Amino acid sequence: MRKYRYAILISLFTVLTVAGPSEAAFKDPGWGARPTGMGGAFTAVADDSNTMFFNPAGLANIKTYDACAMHAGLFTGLDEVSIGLSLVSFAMPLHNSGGAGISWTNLNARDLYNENAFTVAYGHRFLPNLSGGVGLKYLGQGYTLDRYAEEDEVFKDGDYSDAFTADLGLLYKPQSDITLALSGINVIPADIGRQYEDIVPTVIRAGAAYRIPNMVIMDQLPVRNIVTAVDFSWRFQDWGDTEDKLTVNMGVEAWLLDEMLPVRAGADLSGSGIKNIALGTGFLKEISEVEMSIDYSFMLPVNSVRDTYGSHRVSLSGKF
Amino acid sequence: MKKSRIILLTVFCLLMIPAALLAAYSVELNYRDDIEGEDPAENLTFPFIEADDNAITDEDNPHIPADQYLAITLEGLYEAEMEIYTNNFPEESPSTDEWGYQYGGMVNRPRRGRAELLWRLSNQPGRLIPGGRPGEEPSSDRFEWKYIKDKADIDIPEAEGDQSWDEAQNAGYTRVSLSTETYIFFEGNFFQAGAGEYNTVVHLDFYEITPVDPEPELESVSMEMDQSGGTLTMENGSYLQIPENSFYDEDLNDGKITITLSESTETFKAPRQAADEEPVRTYRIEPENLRLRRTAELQLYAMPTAEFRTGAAVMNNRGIKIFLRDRRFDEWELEGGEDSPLDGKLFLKGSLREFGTRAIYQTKPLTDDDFRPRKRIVTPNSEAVFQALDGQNTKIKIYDVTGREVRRIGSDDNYTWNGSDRRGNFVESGIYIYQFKVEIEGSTKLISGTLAVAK
Repeated sequence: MRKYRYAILISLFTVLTVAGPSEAAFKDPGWGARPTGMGGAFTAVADDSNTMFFNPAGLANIKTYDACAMHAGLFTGLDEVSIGLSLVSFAMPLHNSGGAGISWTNLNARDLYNENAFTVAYGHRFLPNLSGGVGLKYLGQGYTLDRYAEEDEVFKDGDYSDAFTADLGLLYKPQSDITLALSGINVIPADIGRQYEDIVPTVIRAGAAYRIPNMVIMDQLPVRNIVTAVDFSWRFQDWGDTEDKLTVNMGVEAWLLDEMLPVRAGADLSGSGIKNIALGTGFLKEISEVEMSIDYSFMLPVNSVRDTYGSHRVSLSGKF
Repeated sequence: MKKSRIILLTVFCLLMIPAALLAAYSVELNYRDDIEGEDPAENLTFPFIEADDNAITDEDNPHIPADQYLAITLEGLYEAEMEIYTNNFPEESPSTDEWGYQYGGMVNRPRRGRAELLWRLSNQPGRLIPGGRPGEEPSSDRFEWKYIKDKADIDIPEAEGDQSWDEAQNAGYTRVSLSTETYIFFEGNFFQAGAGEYNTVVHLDFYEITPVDPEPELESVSMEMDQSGGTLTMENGSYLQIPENSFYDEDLNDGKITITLSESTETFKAPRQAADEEPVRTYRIEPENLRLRRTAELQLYAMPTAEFRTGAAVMNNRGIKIFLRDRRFDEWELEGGEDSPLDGKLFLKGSLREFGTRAIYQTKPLTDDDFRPRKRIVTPNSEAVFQALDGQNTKIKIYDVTGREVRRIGSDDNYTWNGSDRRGNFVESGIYIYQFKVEIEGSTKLISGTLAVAK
């Protein structure tokens, strides 16, 4: 298996290099299919390569090489709305008490806007039940300029801007079935403004997860690895009210059919009520010592964007 | 004088117009008699109509010009109609069996019933006027000569022995439309008639006289305003009403600013939504590009209501809208405006935050894209202006990429998003989704799209 690891690593770096400049995404639209299926409550779950988008401390607990690629269509079914979200992530254990990862994300609105993030992160277990992590991010933002924008002073130096920032995270397990987490996303002020200052807001996330290894539902259905999670996040943005800055994510994941079929559900709330509801599922199978999984999630906005078929995410992951 | 007979012709003109309008326009009548070499215009009497047997000629004998004509000049009139007839039998309809068309020309009974008096309209006085074929069909289509008939002489085509021919038989006396310069040529063919001399009276009645929509005198009104606002009103009913505290302080000079609302004849390339190349009307609101802090009310006169409602507009499903000139990009912003008919005038009511040239165009049916902003990237220097929404009474909702509502835009905002949130703070850069409902041809539709914000 070791020889495959290097081949996959080289492939992943190639993908990241070819896919575009190493840039960053700045507002959390839900990221991967698995976290989104759980309503975005992942800061304390933090057990696969998706942890880099929520809490870099989760990398300390990565046991295998973990690669993931995802594509999403956001707010599908609306005329003249074509927003795509893509990401590639890879995490690997470095030694018994640490792990590292890299990721690339891209948010794209056709013929209009393009936003990228490239992250290199490391997580370290300081104590048996306490881990910390740090991620360094390069953020880049590009616009497709029309004839009006070309004349705009904002774009006098071009259609692209970039900045660096960092993420920090902590993960604490007071007991084996409970995890508590705290992370700060974009903690270094990153000004991606052109003519004017435009600091990417810092987001503070606090999360908790509770795990139940086994359960039998109605004496018939064995369920394993049940995870329930909740995140509270605050976005330090200059605009909006409290309800715009505060988000509560909550979700659950459970594995059926001898851990082949996950089912997920969740929701995220703002100060004014439920914002999105989400459902997810997938399929996991081991092929040539690689644990392959396909995950899908569906997220539907509530009391906001209307007449959409929702946001759909599909990801392919491998652990080896 | 050539051979044959002559006829004395007197012309009476009855102008069927309201006396009140007399001052606004006139019908001038002059006649010319090249044969006599005189121009007794004052009495409007043709001493003679040349009785020329070649006047109604055959195809082999090319025409002889009608030398005598009456010139009708419509001054200050858009259009008019005229009936031309004799009134030799005002009390009783003549028997078509006995008299037929010739009553138009004769008072005395002609010997062989062939004594037609003809007329022809032209707007080209110098052009030779050919006649018809003798004894057959003098008012052939080819030459467009018409009989002057008695007003009571409405023939019955099926009547046995009817002596009238073709259109003389069917049409009775004639009603025609006049152009601004119209010439009536007269010809007679009396060589077969027995009498040596006839006289008759030709009546010209004018109807449907429509004054010309007077060449608009470009109106302009100005007013010095301060922060208390005010209303500029034009005589045609257009107005601009600026509420209190609408001006930015830096635009005021000693607390005052001069606002001008004026009509313009400036022409530009028509917007893509326009049904016609020419605007219905153009207005300038100056100072150009002045921006207001609050929304002003604008009413612009477009055209007489009847002209729009009864014209091709309704049949072709046209609308009528206000467009704002974007001089920088040589384009138009479709603002919209609500139809507002009042006292026979069609106004468009809208709102404005930005001064500049506005034109009113008749438009083709609008599509989804006509409501979307032209500029899709919002910056502190550039706004997203949603188009054609005046009168739609809708709200535009702006969401961020997570689906969170950032702002609602309504008519108070002039359907313009300047990138600010509910509290007026500029949002962060990124991608945003907008949605709003519109009425398109009677059904409600949800319009969606994306905007980007940059700083």
